[in-house]
Amino acid sequence: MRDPASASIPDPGTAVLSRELASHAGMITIWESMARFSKLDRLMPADPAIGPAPGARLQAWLPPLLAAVLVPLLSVAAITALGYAVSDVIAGKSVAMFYLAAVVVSALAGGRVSAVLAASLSFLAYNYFFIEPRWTFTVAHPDEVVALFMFVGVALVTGTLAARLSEHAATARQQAQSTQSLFEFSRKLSGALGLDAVYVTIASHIGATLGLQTVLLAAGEGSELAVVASEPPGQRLAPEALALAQTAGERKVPVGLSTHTAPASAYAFLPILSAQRVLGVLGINLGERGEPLSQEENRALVSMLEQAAIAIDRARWARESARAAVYRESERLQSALLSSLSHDFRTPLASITGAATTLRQLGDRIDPPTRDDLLQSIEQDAGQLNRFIANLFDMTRIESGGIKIRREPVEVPEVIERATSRVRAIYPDFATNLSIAEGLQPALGDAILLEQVLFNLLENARKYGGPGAPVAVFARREQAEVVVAVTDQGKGIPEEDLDRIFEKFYRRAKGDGRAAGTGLGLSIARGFIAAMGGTITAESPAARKRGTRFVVRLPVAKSSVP
Amino acid sequence: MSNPRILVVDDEPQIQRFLRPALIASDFDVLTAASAAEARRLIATRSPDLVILDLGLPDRDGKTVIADVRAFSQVPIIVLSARDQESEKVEALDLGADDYIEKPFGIAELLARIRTALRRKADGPEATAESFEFSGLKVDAAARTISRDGIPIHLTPKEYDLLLQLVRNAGRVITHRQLLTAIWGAAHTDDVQYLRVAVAQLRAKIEREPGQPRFILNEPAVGYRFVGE
Repeated sequence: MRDPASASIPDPGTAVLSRELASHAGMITIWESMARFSKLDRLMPADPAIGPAPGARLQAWLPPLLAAVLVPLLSVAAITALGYAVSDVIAGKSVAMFYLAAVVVSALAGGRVSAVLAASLSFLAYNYFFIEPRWTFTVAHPDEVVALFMFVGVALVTGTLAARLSEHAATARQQAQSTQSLFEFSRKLSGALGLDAVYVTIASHIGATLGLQTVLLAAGEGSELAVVASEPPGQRLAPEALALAQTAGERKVPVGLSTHTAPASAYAFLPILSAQRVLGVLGINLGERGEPLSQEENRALVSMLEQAAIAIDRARWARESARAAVYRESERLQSALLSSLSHDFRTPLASITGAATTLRQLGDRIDPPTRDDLLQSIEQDAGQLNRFIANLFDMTRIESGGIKIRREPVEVPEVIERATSRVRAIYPDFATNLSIAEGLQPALGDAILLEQVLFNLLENARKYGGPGAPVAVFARREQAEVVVAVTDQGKGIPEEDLDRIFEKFYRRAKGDGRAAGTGLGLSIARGFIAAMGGTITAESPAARKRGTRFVVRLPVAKSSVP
Repeated sequence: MSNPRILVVDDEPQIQRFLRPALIASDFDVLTAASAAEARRLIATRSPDLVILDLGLPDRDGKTVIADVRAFSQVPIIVLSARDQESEKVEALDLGADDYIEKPFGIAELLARIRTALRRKADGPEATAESFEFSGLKVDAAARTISRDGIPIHLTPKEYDLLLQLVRNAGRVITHRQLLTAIWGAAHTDDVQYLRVAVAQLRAKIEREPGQPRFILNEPAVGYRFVGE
């Protein structure tokens, strides 16, 4: 091999280089496939058996700058030692090939700078140690000068290519990592139930990925942006920062640190945009870190913000469709209420019209007792309509807050007496069992409203307890309260309905056949009693598995407390 | 001949309270029912001559009573309904009810509807009379000729069919769907516009004042009623 006249290799020095040049294409494919291989690996990082690429391992061990210098030095020294050791066996010119390996290793470890450094060092070392005259930097043969410069050229090209491949591999690795991170993010987002959970996931995931504090702002019920989540949780924004965030939202551009607007801010604010609107603004606190986001971080952030936009949009849509469902339900309820109201108005009106026209047109053919009954039915139905309208009016007043509540001592027994006699005026068969404590202190409240409440309760008790069944009423003092209870002997109310009976228009019986009434009496009672500072509750069964008891509690009037 | 027997189906005691004496005073025998089941039973066992039916019943929808009864009886049924329940009315009529009356109603109106329904029942369900005359308007079904006050009126075949449907059911409301099916066929049951146009043309020819018709009356959102007298 050392014979310069060897037929197979006419000029070993140039032959080595040209062979190297010829195989460049092959080398590139090898490194490319290595890079691709490593990229594929990174897509499946869950497998811990596959470690990081060699370059990355080196870089992980050493600070980058040190590696960039140390690796060329060491590798060139090692190749020189190796070449020296084998220089007796193989031609000195063949050692040039070994130096290419050092250049490639340096390029992979330290990038372009290392590659150039390694190439230069190799050039010197090769010249000094292996080119005749050895131990000098002089070159005797002109063709060796050519070979030397050819070597440097090839080394630089090889090194640059290797460095580029290494960079590609690193980028691919990073992309794979950010893809993985995005996967993770999207998995977390789709697992987040509800808009608030989505907000928290966005703030915490982006914060954890970048290793930075984040705040997420979104427009709440109003149109103003407000902090809806942050990492770590519970952060607030100073007014200036909030104003910046709003600017980002309005202009749909990033503002804050390292942007054109307010570049001195500690925060960078990035709008989260869907096709039509601004969904929110993400603030990242770069103040402590002091340097802007790298290109890769920026890329990852943009992808995460896109994911965040999709998730917010979806969650908002879900929330809005849920609201629409609630709205539809309330529409349905309202139309049910209207039809119930119109039924309750129409029945007494139909009865009045029917009875009146019957009397007028057929009166002379009807016997006197029946005529009297028809007249009475007109009177009663007119009374029912009147009470019905009064109830509606009361309800409106409660709801609009237009009711004037007196809070003065009320003699409860007198009020009970007035309410029962009003009921008896409508239903002559109305019977009560009264039990009123001796010397009962006055309650604090409004006598007129309390009378209306008791009237509603007594009328209900008569209606559901059945005609003729006496209604039990008691009044007594319990600690600082005056308690009035009205108990009927009806079927009672299932426990699950006990609270709902106080709802407006709630009627237990459905359809046309229920007892006449508006479904307003009890909700008016509750509204009045609450306005007087008292409570009203229902208990069922009241006694012996039957009946319902309504209990009204009002505070004892202070002046009368001994 | 005994008095016609009327069944009143309504669960509101106030309605029964005046209907009963009013019907008795008008020479009817009165049966009452407060539920769909009771109504069905009484129609089957007591064969009333006419049924007054409230659609809102505690046990079942009154419309199911109409469907049930029509399976075994052609007894005239007058439905009591509310003004805001057009679809209910139309459904009831399409199911076979003969007429409806809106609450609140005066007793005279109800009695007039009852008499119309009973007369139609006496004439038979398919009125086969060959000629009709209503205050100057003559319809000769055998000769297919129409005249008003002796002056012949020329009608298109569709207008003639429409008029014949209406006069054969004089006094009774006929739904849009029933008229469309009878004249244009089952494929056109929803083409109410055809009917509007035909009615307007017919009114222009037979009414003295087409702007204020007195023969063909509109029952908004339900159908038309031909008034003879």
